[in-house]
Parts: sequence; structure tokens; C-alpha cells
Amino acid sequence: MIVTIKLFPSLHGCTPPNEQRLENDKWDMPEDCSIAKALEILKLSEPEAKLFFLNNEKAEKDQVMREGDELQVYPPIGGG
Amino acid sequence: MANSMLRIDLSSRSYQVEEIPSEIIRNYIGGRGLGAYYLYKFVAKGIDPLGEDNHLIFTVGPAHGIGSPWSSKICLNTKSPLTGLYLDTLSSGDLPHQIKKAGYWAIDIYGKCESPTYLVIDDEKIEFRDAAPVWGMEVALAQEKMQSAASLEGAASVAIGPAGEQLIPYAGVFNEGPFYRTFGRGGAGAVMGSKKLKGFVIKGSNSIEVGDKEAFSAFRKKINQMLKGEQWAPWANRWRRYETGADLEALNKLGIIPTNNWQYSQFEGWSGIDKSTTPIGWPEEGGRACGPYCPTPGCRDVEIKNGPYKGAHCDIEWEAIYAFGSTCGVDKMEAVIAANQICDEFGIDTITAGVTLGFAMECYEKGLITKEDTDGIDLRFGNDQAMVAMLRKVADQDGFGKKLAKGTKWLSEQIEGSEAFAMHAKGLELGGYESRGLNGQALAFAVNARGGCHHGYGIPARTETHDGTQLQVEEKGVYIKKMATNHILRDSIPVCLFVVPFGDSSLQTELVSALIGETWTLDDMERFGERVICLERLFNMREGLTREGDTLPKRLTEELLPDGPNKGATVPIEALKDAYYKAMGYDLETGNPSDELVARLGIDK
Repeated sequence: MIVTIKLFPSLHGCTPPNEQRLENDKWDMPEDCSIAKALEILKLSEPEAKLFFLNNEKAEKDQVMREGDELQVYPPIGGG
Repeated sequence: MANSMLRIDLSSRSYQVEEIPSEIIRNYIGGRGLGAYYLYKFVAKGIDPLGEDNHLIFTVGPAHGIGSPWSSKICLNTKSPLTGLYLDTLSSGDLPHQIKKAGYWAIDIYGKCESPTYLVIDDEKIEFRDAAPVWGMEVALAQEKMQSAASLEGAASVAIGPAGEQLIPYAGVFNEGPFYRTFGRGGAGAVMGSKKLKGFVIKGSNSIEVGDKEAFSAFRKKINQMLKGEQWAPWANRWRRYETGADLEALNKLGIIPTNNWQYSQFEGWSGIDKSTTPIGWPEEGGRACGPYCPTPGCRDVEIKNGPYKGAHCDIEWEAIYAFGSTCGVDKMEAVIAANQICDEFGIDTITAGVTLGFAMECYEKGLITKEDTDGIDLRFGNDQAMVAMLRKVADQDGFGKKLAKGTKWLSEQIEGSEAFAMHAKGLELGGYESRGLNGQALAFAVNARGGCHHGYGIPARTETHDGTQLQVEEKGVYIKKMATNHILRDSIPVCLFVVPFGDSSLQTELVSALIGETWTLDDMERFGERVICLERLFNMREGLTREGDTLPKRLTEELLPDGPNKGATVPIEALKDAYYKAMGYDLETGNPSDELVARLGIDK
């Protein structure tokens, strides 16, 4: 299935190119792929891959994605 | 070398060096812990913050002078002229290392000069010099002149700007010259100005011993390895690129961004003031450290190249970004930078300045003040030019600027019907986080000793949105206590708050053990944290603070949040306070520690 995965700029360097990557942030992921599985494929992990939004709603790693979903992955928010 | 404190009496132009008992170092470590101890000891109940009996106590810690990573923070304690309560405020730079190498764990300044003065401290030699040539100067130039006159190569310096001289209640104390490092919050600059002290230059030449050299060396190697490893290298690289203020998209989705004076929790214009998306761009190269020994330098002085703010420049971080950005409805990073620069040069706290402006904007839009009050300026949310123009009036002490210079609480007391949305706690304007739907953040703002502080008890908004606990109530007492303990230890060693790996408390105890040469356990750390939290509270209790003083603006406790994922939330403040007082072992009715608790913690009341 095709999903969009947008990464915070600092996470781009963490993802190796592979055959599942398509153009414009689109990825070809297995059916019923969870966020956790997607992170594994993208070789992203905590602590930097910490915050997830699926279709603009905060999501947990065990949530399953569907065709056309948009996943955004952020590092932990920091401030001061 | 014994642990020493330099005590300077400005009234008699005299000084003495006192030994700090090793037991005090053991119980309070340094930095914030040590500062809390001496503030409580030296500053009596009820004194005028702008009188000669107030003290300015600069404290350093065991990590200074020895190349410990991320350890260039320094604490300054005083009684705040903005709140009338306990104040600690931190800055960064070479300053703490020079103080330590000069032979001091603390510099305590009290009394009052007869005329403008600055100090030159060269190890044990102390001089009082005439500050007339630099009085009125902005902080960077003043430090340059004082350093030049002192002729101490490699010295550090501290100065107040015109704001401190004019006793503006949120004037800061600045160091590191053109890098504008700041002891920003609560008006320590006004305290220094009330003493007619422009600042000081300090040079230290002693070498400093580490408690356990082998353990410290092993710790440094471990940190170096961690920063190159798979787990922490991505964080280190991100930090070097942006530091704070580059995650507004996530903050916005989480409903954390105070917008239009906390009327909303999401800001449509976020991308204009986010470092990673702002149209002005953010330089890749040029990151520098805020002080020596930082392995992840990411500070950048960014200059605006064109437009109405051409030439404006500053080194900006999240708190100034939200204060002049979303709080004022402004989505232009160039305006935020221009505003920050005005604050740096006048010498005031960016958070109080921005939040007070945002408050005034809401009063204006509600018709509680008019264009006549604002000297013809159309002070609306989003009007960046109005915001900057009004801030210049604060710096020029002109017209409505004179009122804004007194802070949000004072201003709200002059404008009938505005108190509910005066966004301060205990008189100190809130830091850059919504609190509705973020119960830990709300509690931290409400119970922090210095007021609406974004730092002292941690930033729970950052963690509870990740661990999913943001709507808990009962559990938040322990949550805040643990977070506060972690932060107090960091502020006392000290080690920079932003170093994410140090969220692991065992790493901190490992460092403390190596530095002092005695094993510290997590239990020791918890007792230490309790002791300092309690001591900070005792200072305020002595000033008359009770449970009623631990509160938040009605906007947060009574107005339903109108937007974002936490829509409909308010802060259940009384239940949260109960949870906190229980966790701390305080009396539920007064919110204060009992004599028995104080004795158990080894505090000499």
C-alpha cells in the first residue's frame, strides 16, 4: 500500500534509500503495516523518532496504517 | 584549596572571604542548591528587593573549571523586585569557570554603592572602580569598556543595561559581552541597579581538582562515545543545527503554543517563526557554544538581510520566539529577532516583555485600553510593527512604554476587567506552554518558587505529551516532584538542561560522584532535590506565601480551551495542588512544609 511519510528534517539522514521509497515522501509499505513496522523499515528508532501523527492526529507506535494515510514523525519536542 | 565564598559589602567598599563548610557543599552541591541555601540564610524576611539588604548571590558548582561537558551554566539568586519572592536565574558562559578558578564557589554582593561602581576581581584582589564612564551603556559595550580598563586577559564580565540602572522590575543581568547571555527572569538587573553596581570583571588563575579523576575521565570518554553512537548522534546533530525553536509543527499539533495571549493553543502562523521553516532561512554553518566545553554547540546570531527589520540580529531560542511570536500573534521571525535585540540592548527579560505586550494587545482589542492610551499605536495581535514600536517605547521609557515596563501583574491591576487573562503566576509571566489539557505543566507553573517559570521544575509539556499522562491528576504530584529534582540537580552541578541524555538521572549521579569524589545514589539525589525544593518554598513561606499563592490565571482554570486536541480543557488546579503537597509531604491547608519535614531534610530553619 502507498502511504506518505514525512520526517522532521533531522530524521532524513537516518533513513537509508531502499526499494520501498517512492517520490514525494511516498512509500510502498506492506498491507496492515503498523507505525512501529514502518519505523523498522525506515531504520528509525527512539529517542529521535519519538512523536507520531497519523493523518494529523497523535498516534501510538502500534497503530496500523491504511492506504493513503499520512504519517509524520518528529523527534521529542524541546524548548526552554 | 578550601571551598570559599567571596562576600562584598558595597556600602563599606570592603570584602572578606569565608569558608563554605564541606557539609554545605555535600548537602547543596553548588549552583542552584547552594544559591538557595545562602539566599535563605542571608536575605531576611520582608526586606525591600531594591534596598541595600537584598543580596545578589552568584554560585558555581563542582563541574566548573575542569572541562566538564555542558557545564557552563551559572546561577544567580536574589529576592525578586517583580514578585517580591524567591528568585533564581541562570545564565551561561565562561563566567562560572573564571569565578571558580578565582577561588570561589559563590560571590555574595550586598549593600549599596554611593555612586555608580564596577568591580574588578583578579583571584583574591578586589577593586572598586568608578562606573561613571560606562553608566548608561548597553551591556555589550559596557563589558567591553570595563574589560579593557581592567586589562585582565581572558577575563569574564557581567553588566546591567540601562533597564537595570532604571530599576525596571524585569531587568536582567548580562554576561559574555556581544553574545548577550542573560540571567533573564525576575529582575535581578534591577537589584544590581539599585545597588548602583554596573557589573564586574573577573579573572581566575587557579587550577581546580576533581574529586575522582579516574571516574571523571571515564565519564567524559563515555559521553564522547554516546554522542557518536546510533542512539544519541541524531539528537546531537539536530541540536547543533537548530537548538530550540524548530519543532513548532509538532507543538502546534499537540496544542501547546500560547497564541494571542493564551486565547488559543494553536498558531496558524507557526511556520513563519519556526527555525526550520521560516522564510528568512536558518544558516547551516556557524553554530557556536554558549560557553566552554559544550560538545553540541548550536547557538547562532542571525541577522536580517532585508525588509523593515534589516540589520536586526540576535541569538534566538523558543521562549523569545513564542513571547514575541505566537503570544502576540506575530508570524514573522524577523520581527521576533528585532524585538529580542531591543530587549538585549536595553537589558530586559524577553519573556516578561513579550507576554506583557501580548496582554496589552488583548486589552486593546477588547477596548479596555484605547489608541489614546497606546500613544496612537494600533496595538493589535499580529501587528508586528506595532509590537516592535511599543517595545522601543519600553526601552525609551516613553508614554505607554513606562507602564509596560512594570510587567503584566502591575498593568492588570491598573486595567479593570483584565485580571483573568493576565498570564502570570506569582507575578512572573508564564513560560511558552499552554497548560489546559497539560496538567503537569499547569502544576509546574503554579507551584514553582519563582513563579510562572518555564525552567525550574522542568517542562512537563515536553514529556507528558509523549508519555500520554497529560490528563492525570493524582499522579502529577510525584511526576512534578521527580522532574523538579532532576532539574535542580542539573542546575546545581551544573549541566545544561537541554542535554537530553541527562534526563536519565543515573547519568547525573554518576557525574556528581566523579566530581565530588564520593558515591552518590539515586536516593541521595532524591533527598537533595526535596531539600532544595523545600528550601525554596521556605523562603517564600517566610514572605507570607500560602496555598492561595500557588495559582494560575483564571483563563487557564476557568475558560474552556477553544481549540486543539485539548479543546474543552481547563486546569483542575486545586486537585493538582493537593497531589503535589501530598507528594512533597506539605500541609494540605497551607501548602507549606512542616517543621518535622524541614528537620528531616537537614534544613536549618
